[in-house]
Amino acid sequence: MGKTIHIDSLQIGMVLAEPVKNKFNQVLCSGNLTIEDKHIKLFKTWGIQSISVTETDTANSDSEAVINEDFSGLKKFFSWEPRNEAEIDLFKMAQKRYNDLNIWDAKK
Amino acid sequence: MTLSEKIINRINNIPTLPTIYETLSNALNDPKVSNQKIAQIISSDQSSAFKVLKVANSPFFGFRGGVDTISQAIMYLGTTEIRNIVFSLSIMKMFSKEKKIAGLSPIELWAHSIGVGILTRSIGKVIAEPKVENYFLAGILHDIGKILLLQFAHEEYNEVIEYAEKNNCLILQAEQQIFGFDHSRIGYLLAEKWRLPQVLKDVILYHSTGISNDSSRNIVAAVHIADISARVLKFGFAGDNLIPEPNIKVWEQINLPQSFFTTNYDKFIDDYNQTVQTILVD
Amino acid sequence: MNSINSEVLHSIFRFTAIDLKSKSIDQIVSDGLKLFCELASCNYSALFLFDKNTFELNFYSISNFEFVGELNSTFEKFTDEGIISKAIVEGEIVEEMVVKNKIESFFSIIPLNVPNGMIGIVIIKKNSSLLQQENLLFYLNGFSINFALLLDLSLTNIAKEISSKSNSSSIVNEFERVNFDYEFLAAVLNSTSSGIILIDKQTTQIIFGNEYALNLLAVNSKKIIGTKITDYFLIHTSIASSNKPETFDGLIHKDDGTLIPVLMKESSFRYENKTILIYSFVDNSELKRYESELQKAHFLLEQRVEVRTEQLLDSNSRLVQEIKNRENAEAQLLKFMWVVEQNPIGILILETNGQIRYANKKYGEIVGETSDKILGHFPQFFNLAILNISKDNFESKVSKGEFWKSEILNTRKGGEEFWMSLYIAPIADTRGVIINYFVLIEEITEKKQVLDELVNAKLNAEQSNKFKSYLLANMSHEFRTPLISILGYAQILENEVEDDEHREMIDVIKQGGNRLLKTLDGMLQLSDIEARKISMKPEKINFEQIVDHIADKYLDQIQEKGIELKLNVKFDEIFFYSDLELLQVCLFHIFDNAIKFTNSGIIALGAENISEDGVKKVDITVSDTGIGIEEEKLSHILSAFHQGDEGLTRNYEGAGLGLTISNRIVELLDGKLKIFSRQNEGTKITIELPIIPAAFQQKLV
Repeated sequence: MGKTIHIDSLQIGMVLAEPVKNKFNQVLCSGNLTIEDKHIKLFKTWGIQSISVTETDTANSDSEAVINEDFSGLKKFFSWEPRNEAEIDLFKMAQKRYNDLNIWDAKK
Repeated sequence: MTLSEKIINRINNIPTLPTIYETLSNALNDPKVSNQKIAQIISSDQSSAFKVLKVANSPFFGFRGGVDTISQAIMYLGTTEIRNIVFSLSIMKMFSKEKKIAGLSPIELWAHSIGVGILTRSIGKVIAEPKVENYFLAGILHDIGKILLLQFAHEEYNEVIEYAEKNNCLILQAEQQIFGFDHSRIGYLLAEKWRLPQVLKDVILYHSTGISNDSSRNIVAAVHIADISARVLKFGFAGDNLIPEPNIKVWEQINLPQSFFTTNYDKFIDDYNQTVQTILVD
Repeated sequence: MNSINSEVLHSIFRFTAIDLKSKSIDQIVSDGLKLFCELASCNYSALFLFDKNTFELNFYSISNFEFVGELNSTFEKFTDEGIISKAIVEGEIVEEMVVKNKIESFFSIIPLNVPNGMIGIVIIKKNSSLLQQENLLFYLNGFSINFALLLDLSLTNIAKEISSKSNSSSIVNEFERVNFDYEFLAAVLNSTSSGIILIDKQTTQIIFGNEYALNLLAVNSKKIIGTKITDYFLIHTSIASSNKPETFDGLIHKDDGTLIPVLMKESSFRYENKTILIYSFVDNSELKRYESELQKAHFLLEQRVEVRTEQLLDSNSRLVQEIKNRENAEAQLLKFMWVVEQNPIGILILETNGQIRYANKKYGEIVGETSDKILGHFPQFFNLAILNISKDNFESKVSKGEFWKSEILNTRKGGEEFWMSLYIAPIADTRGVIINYFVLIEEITEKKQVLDELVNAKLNAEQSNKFKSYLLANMSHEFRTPLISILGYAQILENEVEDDEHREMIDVIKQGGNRLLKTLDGMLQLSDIEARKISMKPEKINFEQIVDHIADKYLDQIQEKGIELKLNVKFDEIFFYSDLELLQVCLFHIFDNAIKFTNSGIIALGAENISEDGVKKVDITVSDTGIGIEEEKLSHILSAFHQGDEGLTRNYEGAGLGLTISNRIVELLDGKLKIFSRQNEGTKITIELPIIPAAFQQKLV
């Protein structure tokens, strides 16, 4: 099984785990392809957001970094630090919602 | 006359308790009244009865399309829960027509309250509270004071919202700053006037601190946590974007299962989206 | 071809995701049309360009060149029919169907605003009349993404060109071009029939909203820029990230408080370091309303079914109850009818004119008629009865609802006479109007006979009683007078006779005569007691007085016989009411016997008030140490008189009638007489009397 990563985390040398398809399920690019510079450009112009690649350590750490960075945007709404398991869980939920909502922002 | 006196004076003209609630409560307290009779009372207003049925059929209350009539709804959910749903709907109908002021509209506030209702009831269920039929209603009513202020003091309330925005503080603090009292006190006045049960009065008065006395300790703590969680999940809008820190003592009262929030996350969103659509869209 | 600005083409087809630098413009346009064709699943797509200044319309390229011939003829047809100009003038997509050799072909003619006064016409030949809705939605989304990219790339190109050229006029040109590109993008997005909002994720501000979105949200295009999506949407996300659906239910809230349910889709694209969020949505309120109406209809139906079911259940149970009631009533009626029909009294119901409406079995038996001669006929007694009474009496009684009652001697069918009793009562309706008569007829011939006999027997009894009284009343004269003569002459003879044998004979005569006289006196006394029963006089008894009388009468005899008399009476404590005279007679008889049968020892008289079971009484006791009474005689001794003649047999002559009389008196005084006796040891007689005899109670009060 591959790991799904954001197009921004896609790097040269990674290997596609699954074929890349458009929304009509038409295959744009077969699986097991080693990514080159032109591929990344192509995927971007196709508007592809996430890509499934075979798992490597580099890919992992990169995607984590993205989420952490996103979460830091939440900090301004939490003036406090979690003190117990339930509150940590509450923070995790906030993080999840932040990622899902795309917009986690104050009203004007 | 001070500003706060003026506002309280104005709020003295608050509407009376929806008659349906009183009629139903009296019927429920009379052992001679059958469930069939209660179903008849609810069904007498067909459009609201239909809405009650829609709510009872929503996945949140656990019956996906299985309830066809009010009598069945009473059978599955019990008379108290059904009365509370009827009550919730009639209160929202009473106030929701108000226009949007500044950054806050009653609709957004109701959406927040529905979110709190859903979370409160969900918490009530996992802390093994035997009687959760008041929990949803508690969420609906907890910010009733804000609704009243929006309606009866909307110009002044504009100021409150602006103050909260500017100072990046809770709406509660802004209210205290500008009025000298907050929405929980106004809500309590209404609850007194309507002679609501003591637990609901406690919820309205104490939800921001989360601490109450014996009989209402669980429900007040549940609303406190649910209010904060609804802000985390961006359910509706309560007037400010802050997420207050939970009262640490409340966690002694509310012992949630491990990963309660993350495990039920999908369900919360799903229940919220559906219930808001069901209740608020005519 | 020369008039075509390569830049224009470039700008149109850059969205086709072809590497722009590596190919010639022709190649780019051709590839672009091919991709376009693939996306829309059509046979071919072709591009024409219309120059607004010169009104020239030229073919530029086609995706599949084998269709050029067909395209030419179709294009000619379209220009002839004004379809192309319609698309250009109205700026809207035109859908056309062409039938050639009985084969239907479908075309879309899409006008595109392109820079430099050009209008691009894309003609697509489709496989079917409609593009799939889903494809279209995606198609539009794809456009929006790629146009944004186009915009971005153009800016990059401009930057490059600016750096390479230092000509200020060309800079102005380039900006114009970019502006046109934006206009073009907006035109495409505005022409779509769904709302599209673009948001810069970094600032979370809305950077674009198409016309559809602006209309739905009720804002103008300037105002929406820079606002937040939460200003318009209550719900703008779907559930769980893990299995996000293609579309979901969103909710728009307007400033006036109205809510609009929408079907939403959410996606994003990135370029350089920017993320653009795209929200596309369509108004779903019609569908929701329709769904809601459907549900409402369903609910009303269910509600009606429930109410109807309840009503049915209710009326059913009422029906069952009614049936039960009727059955009960019928059973009751049957019972009642049976009672009436089988009644030993003849029962009739008459019409007001006297016709028989109903007659029971017994009536037929009484009058000796068969039922066919009864119903509808007039009863033969009716006139008879009316004749026998005064009409006024009948009417006044009957109109008051009372029975009219009579006894009539009637004649049966065979001519036999019989007596019957007749009761007639009116039956009135609820207003009190008489509608029927109710008649009871009882044959009383036998009753009358028995009654006659009873009357006779009573008369006989009264006569014999009179005779008895007469007999008793005359006894003294008829018996006593001769007996006194006998005894008197026996006394005289005793003095005259000297022979001892004769003297003994006279003694026997005297003894017999004396006993007869005594018996006679006793019987007279008894009859006297019976008579006194009516005239008893209660009074408070002074017991001391009674004892005085007894002492006066018997003290000499007692002393003569050498017997001791003992009194056990506390006179102060004795208290009762009774008839003094009767009580005295009773005690005299008892003392007579006591003295007679006691030769030595004691005779004791006692009296005391006692309370037995809460009833207050007085006990009077006379005991002696005489010869006593044999046991077998004891049980008969008191009932002697009741057994009539037997009481006078010789066996009891010793006791005489004394005890019998005493017992009778005690009975009259509401008391009880008890005898305890043992032969050769003595006798004890106790008289128990009430404090007040029942017969006196009322008199005393």
